[in-house]
Amino acid sequence: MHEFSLAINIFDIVLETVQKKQIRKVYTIKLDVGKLMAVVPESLIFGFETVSEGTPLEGAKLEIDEIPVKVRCKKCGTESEINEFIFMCPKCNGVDLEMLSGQDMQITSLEVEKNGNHNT
Amino acid sequence: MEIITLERKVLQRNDEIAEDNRKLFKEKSVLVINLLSSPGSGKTSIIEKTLEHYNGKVNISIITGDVQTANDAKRIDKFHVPVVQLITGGACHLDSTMVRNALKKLKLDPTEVLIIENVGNLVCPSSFDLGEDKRVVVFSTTEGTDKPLKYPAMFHKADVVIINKIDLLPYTDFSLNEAKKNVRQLNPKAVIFEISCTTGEGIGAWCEWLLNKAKKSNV
Repeated sequence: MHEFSLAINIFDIVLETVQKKQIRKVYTIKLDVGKLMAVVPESLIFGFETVSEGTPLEGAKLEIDEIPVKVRCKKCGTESEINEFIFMCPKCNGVDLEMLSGQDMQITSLEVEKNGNHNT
Repeated sequence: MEIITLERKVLQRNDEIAEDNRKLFKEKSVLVINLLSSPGSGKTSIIEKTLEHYNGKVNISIITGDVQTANDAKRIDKFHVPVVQLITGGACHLDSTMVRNALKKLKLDPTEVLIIENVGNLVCPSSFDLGEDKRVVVFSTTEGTDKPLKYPAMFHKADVVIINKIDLLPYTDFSLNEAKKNVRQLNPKAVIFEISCTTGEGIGAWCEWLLNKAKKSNV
């Protein structure tokens, strides 16, 4: 279950941001998760809940967007989405593909409340 | 409520340390292999056969990762090569920090090839760059022809795929052609070796590839 390690990494990055930017509360953590990361969202959420319990991040929700695997054919330049994990250009059957998306995981944004900003 | 844009890679820290490892390996001209498979596919046996094949003629060091026990290190010990056992104590994959720490116990200057045997798992280790040059993924004839399709990320990122236990082909419904087709679908460029650690078949070809890459990494 690599989701637990990923949850710890998310926790560290968000906590660092909270401390740097004087954030009072984190409501939502938005994540882009590439399909090739093989992440089970429920496990990631469970992992994060466990890691954040009793910390300033307790109660923050993970909002996970799955990012499809997209490639560009180096031969004919066609961009396509890889479904069923067949890594081949649908136009020219080329196999030399540049990965455009879907292989990593990113924290895109946070919904927060900053210190001294209680009226929103 | 306020929205803060972050755009930070979750594994950024791991990637940075992996890059440091990679720089160090390059500086010391060490070819580094990340050896991956599910439990019981034969990673340790492949290491044993590789060490046996070279019989000390190539300087190989080993880092071996397991959730528990130092059994793998003990198996490798008899070849008198430098070996570091990492016991993750539950973690299902190695990360770049564990490898960096293990390097403190190895002498990289004389090492030509460093084989890092990852924890047996076809899902979790896939996203964790260790700083390796090549990823070698093993699966065996007793695991089923469709294994690659079940673990697309792992096989997609492989530089080499080894199909082990081909001596057992007569006793299974495993189809070599079908298996290779499945690998190709995910990863048209991977080099594929068919081997048996029991009979030694195919070990020579794999070792030749390894030596060839090692020479290149030394240029």
